[in-house]
Amino acid sequence: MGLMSAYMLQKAGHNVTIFDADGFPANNASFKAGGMLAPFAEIEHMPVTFLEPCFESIRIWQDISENGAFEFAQRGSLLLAHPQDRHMLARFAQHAPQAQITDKARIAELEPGLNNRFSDGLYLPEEAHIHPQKAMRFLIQNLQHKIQQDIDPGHISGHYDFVIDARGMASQKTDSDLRGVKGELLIVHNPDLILTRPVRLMHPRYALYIVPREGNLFMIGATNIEAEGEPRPAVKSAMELMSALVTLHPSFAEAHIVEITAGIRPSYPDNLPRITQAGNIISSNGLYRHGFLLSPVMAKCVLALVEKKRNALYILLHERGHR
Amino acid sequence: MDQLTLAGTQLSSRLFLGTAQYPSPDALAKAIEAAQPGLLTVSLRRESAAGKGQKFWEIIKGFNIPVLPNTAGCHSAQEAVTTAEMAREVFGTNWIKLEVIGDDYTLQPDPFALLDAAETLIQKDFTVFPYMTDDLVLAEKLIATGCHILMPWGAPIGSGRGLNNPYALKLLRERFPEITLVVDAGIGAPSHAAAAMEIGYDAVLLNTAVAKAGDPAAMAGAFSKAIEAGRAAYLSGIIAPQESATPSTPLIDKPLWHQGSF
Repeated sequence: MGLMSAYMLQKAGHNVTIFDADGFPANNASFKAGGMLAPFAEIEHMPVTFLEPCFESIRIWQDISENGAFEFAQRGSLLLAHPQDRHMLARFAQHAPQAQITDKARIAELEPGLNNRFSDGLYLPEEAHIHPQKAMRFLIQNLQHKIQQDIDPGHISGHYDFVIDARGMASQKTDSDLRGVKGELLIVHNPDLILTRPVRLMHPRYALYIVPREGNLFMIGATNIEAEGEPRPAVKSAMELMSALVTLHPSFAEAHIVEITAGIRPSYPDNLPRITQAGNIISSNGLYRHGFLLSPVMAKCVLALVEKKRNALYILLHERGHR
Repeated sequence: MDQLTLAGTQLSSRLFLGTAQYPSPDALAKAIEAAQPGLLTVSLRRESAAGKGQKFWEIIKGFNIPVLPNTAGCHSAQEAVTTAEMAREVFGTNWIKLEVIGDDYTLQPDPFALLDAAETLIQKDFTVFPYMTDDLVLAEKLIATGCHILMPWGAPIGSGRGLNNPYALKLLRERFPEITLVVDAGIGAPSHAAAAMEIGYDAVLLNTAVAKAGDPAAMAGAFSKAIEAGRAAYLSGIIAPQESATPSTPLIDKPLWHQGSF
């Protein structure tokens, strides 16, 4: 969120200095995200008014990545269910009428690597994904003034026209509404399978994505646990992620684990982001599990605040904080 | 006022509401506010067990509604007993919704392990609310172990199918008039909950139907009204169905029945 705001402000001609206590890149929730840009899949966590801003975000990511600086792909996402969980697709489709029903032949056409293992699915052609770490490195490289320092926004507000506070969980001391929601994810190397787009595996107890990345790497995640104290991934979560992975394709049983990691997502009670302003300090926080999906439009709203311009996005995001 | 009393505690409503799977803590709070349930079920989840997830727990406590911890996710009697003991510590109540899963796909309760665990927990001074199938013999045995409340399923958890076997549920009601009976699980629409109340059940426990609804708070309110309506209908004496029509308005110009139409 902070990097994206800084990038947009700098691109708009503002002189930006970015501070981060952990350095660049920081070891925060964004760096441990899956990079899914899946508005339809996430709309069950958000009001429908957020759908258009989500697609605006996808367009922004596409523009930024246009020179091939990092992986951005908009090949849609495929939702699959085992026969016994077929009803989950029908329930999902109730909330996403745009989803195309896919049969065995269509699934084979979209993802031949799955070897006809699935007969029922939904296809959401407009969804996209990016490589989050590469995207963040790109933003970092393009920022001119970076300082590794832990600072209190209030202490430096006298030295700058505006201070953007995008510290996530670090703001919890002064923002009692913020809570942490733990997300765990797994990265494996599987040379025996090719997937061309993210696959969401529908299951009564998990809602998991398998996101293909360059070099036969697959990211699977993420869990959603109301806990903020323990930053390490739990054995139970690792088992759940791995077993779901193997049910998608048996070749995952022989895949190699590259990383199991966990992040704490800053979240407000309604699980929706807020932008608030007090004097020249603008706070932007609470992106929950939608960091990459919403950070471009959040940053655009921050820019609108700095430039004192109001737009529909501004009203949607900024005025939430004043309810 | 026709209020339900459970183990000496008077409850304000016959709707028991689960607290899992809501889109956000705010959505949960709004649903509780709209439904004003008599009881909230809470699971001893990983976050609570670790002493975390305090924000969630603060919301629940703020409503001052009795809580019923459950042993969701347990697959053996021993596991359920251990979870119940941990729940007693964490939530400070000896009430426990005893859930021992026997089949992972239907989440059907294991009747044998349920009976074992119920027996152990009653000896340990718990008030046991067993989540069970609608089996008559199992009900008899649970009552014999000391259960005064039974919670047969309407349909598998989260399925939203309603009352799969009204015959079996009615039989339990007829056979055990003194036992508190709660339909637990499988409810999808308010009409399902009303149907359970109309056959004389004392309460309905549901979660997914509200948590996963497009507007959880509005749906919670709808369930609350349906349960009240179903209870009022049961107490009012529902007429028995019959094959032929009975005119609801007497016709003074037709004093004799038209035999010829038969």
